[in-house]
Amino acid sequence: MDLALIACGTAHVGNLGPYKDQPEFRKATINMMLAAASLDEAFAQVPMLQGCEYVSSAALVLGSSYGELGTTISFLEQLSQSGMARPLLFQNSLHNSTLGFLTMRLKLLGPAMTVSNSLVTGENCLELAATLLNDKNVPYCVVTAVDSIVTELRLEDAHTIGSTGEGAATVVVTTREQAELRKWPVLAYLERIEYHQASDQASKAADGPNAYHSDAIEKLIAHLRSGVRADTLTLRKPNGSHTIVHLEHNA
Amino acid sequence: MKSAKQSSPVWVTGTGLVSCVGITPSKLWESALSDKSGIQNGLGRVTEDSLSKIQSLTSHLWSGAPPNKALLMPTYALDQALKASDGPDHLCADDGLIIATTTGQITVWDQALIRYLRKEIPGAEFEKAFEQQPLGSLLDGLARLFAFSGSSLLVTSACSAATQAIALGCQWVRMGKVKRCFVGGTEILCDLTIEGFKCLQLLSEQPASPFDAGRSGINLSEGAGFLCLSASPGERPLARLLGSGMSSDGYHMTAPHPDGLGSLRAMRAALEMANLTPGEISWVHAHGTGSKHNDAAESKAIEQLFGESMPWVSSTKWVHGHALGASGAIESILCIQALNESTILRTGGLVNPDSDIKLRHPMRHLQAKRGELEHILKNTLGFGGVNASLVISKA
Repeated sequence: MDLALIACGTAHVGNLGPYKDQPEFRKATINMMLAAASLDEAFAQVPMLQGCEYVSSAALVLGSSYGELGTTISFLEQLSQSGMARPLLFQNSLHNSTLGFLTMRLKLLGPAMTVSNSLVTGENCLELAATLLNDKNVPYCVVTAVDSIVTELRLEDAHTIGSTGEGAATVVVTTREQAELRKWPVLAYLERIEYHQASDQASKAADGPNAYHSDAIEKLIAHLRSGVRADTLTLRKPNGSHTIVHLEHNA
Repeated sequence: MKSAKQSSPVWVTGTGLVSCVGITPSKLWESALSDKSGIQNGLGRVTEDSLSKIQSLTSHLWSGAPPNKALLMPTYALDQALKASDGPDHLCADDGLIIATTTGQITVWDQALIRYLRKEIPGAEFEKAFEQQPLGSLLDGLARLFAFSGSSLLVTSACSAATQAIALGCQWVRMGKVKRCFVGGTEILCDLTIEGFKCLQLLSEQPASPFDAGRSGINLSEGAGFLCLSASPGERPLARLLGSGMSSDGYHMTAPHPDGLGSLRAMRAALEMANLTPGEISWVHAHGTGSKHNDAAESKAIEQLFGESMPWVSSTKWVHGHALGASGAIESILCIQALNESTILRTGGLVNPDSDIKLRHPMRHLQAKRGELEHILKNTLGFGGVNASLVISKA
């Protein structure tokens, strides 16, 4: 992979107050707000990327395991009850809807795609960024992963299905070569990701209080912010599998 | 202007598909050539007869109850692509698997959701169905059926998803990340998309008529298609993939940029990667959905790119409908059939070309002379302003 990580940001529901009042977010979903908030925090660290010519050719990868599930449920529920389908709900119901919102907000014109792969969604996003950055015309890639809780899915015995945690995390990555050429500050280098399936004897690991399917990027950011200089980060999944992210911390 | 360096070609060595007009690439080709539309009442459903056949043909992959339809279709298409390709007829650890879909296995849980909300079924029953909601469950299902543990990815960028999957698969092969890459898409008709597109007033109850002055909307359809990509041609290469381009409009959640600027960038990028000039493209297989906005925007992009060297431009969605996340795969397979038959397909349903659309429409299927049909440019434009283009070339 050899990705140079140049900025990062995270967001949770508690961060969304300033966004809810903005006209731009009037029709936005929770996922869209979370993703935008994490993106804003990341971009605040790299002012040289804001409003410059790079954004038109930068790439964007958006990952979400459950996608815009809440909006999908609202659409189907309303359709079932009234026979009416609401255009805005449909427009916001696809996994890709969040991506569309972000590209409009960023005025991003480069390659953009949405991926979804359950517990390894975050990891897949990072690897996909490395693939997209093979194109020398792409100066950097914004990688955002988001999932949110859908309260309508609280069952009669009070446990919630779907995502049991929520949040968004963004990293801005480029190649080592591009970072050196443009003298962008590097937080760390991502070297590779190993995937390990659950063994028959593996016990289910604890999720953590706010674990969500696509939280690999948030956990990576937490690791970098912790000051711990370990060059591997093991991400244990609730199904007993795990991934190992190999890093090189920048001096 | 050509650059000095052309990216190395990626070979297509096998394909498999199921659509509303049949369960093989040749069946799709026959339908297109004989102007037989698989659209009924505005939708392109995979027939019960087709489902029965593909269930039987994939029974070696599962035991007990067959996979649900949303998983069965890509299982069959992938199995056919494996059998048709060079190399082992099963997925190996050094293979790659990239699949595209918009709604995954939604039909497993959408009705269960409504029944649960109406208190017709208990939460535990709904929860069981809901396990298939994450799109990754589709990839997990395929991985289980094919005993696959190699590199995999699921792309869900709406109508451009499968084209993006093909572009990424080419990258993986070129990078040496995988030996073969099986790329494709799958989509199942469901209430979400049917009622959703209907409320956006984008559906037509008649077979779509792309680029026609009287076009009234799209036909949603379902199906699945897979291609095997490889760095080497093998014994029976079907086509070469020379280039790809991806871009965003950054304009609107559902409507394309009215001047098609994003699609223009994607097409240019694909040509640049393929080291081809616009004049070397024989045929643009357009996204051409039959919607007012898409056809207008896409045609502006094509006009701007090709100018005086306008190739033939057509859409085949009148035959097979718009299979959303699977469309890029199904239509690329049709393009490959066309290359091997040296035939440029007309736009079915096009009777009175829109005078505001300045494209070169083949009003009948055209048999190309030797050397005339070498390179096809395949376009897709998707919700969220996601555009992707491929250059598909004769083997």
